[in-house]
Amino acid sequence: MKPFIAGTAALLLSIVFYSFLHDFNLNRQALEELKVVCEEASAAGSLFIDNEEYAEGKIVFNQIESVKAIEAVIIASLELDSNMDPSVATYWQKKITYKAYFIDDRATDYPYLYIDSDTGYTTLIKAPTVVVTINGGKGRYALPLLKNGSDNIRSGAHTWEDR
Amino acid sequence: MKNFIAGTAMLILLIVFPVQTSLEIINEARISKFSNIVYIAVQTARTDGRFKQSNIDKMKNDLLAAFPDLTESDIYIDVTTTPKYRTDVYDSREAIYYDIRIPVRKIIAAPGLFGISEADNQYMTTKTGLVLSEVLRP
Repeated sequence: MKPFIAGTAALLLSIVFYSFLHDFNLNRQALEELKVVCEEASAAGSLFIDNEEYAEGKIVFNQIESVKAIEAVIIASLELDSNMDPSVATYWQKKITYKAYFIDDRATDYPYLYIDSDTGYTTLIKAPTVVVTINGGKGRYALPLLKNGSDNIRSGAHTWEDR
Repeated sequence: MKNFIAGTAMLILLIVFPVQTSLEIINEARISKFSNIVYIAVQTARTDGRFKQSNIDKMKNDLLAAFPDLTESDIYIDVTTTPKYRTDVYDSREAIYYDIRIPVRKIIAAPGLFGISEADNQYMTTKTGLVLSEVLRP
């Protein structure tokens, strides 16, 4: 009986440990992908500028078009539907939300201290920049004690440095 | 003898976990390497305005060099090859789309133990998305 109890305990412990490792690795991978999507989305968003302002030597983002591009990149890269809900096959489980920040020549004095309200990331911005922050929601953890962890949030930025 | 048999059975059962974890780390490294190769090709496509044949060929060669188990027919590539241009307003028709996949051969380290066939023990890892062209319209 003793070996049976010890064996069962070892098996259960192994299952719990493996479950954590598996979910943790999967989450890390998904977070890396989320970071790449943030960078791609901010790069796409920074392509659209106001031509009239540009003629005056200023870079001012065309926010309406930038937002369309940012959403398109997020939807295509994370395999979402038009409501930003994930498809069955993706890692994310709930509606994806994002924030786009446009720091440009319209009303910014450089250097500008940017503090991300979601991640706390702080950086000094010296040129027009688009920052995209994506909230992917909770990770997929099988262990009940890890199910209510914090949201998976990543930020990425693209700057017009050489102008 | 009874203890020896029980111990051996338990050892076989428990050895699955570290082996499976090792396999997942190997698969993760494979996916990460795949992502890096695709990322370089996508960034090149962004500045070229499309996936040029030379870019596709380089990506294929990089994948074949990185993963010796792959053959050319294992690699699925569906990308925008017609020229796209940077526009003043967002136009989905001017985006460069990509859908690139390679197989991950083993999901479970000991498929025989769970009655999983070789065909069921693999999947395609995918990189899909879009980037906007940085090429100005001539």
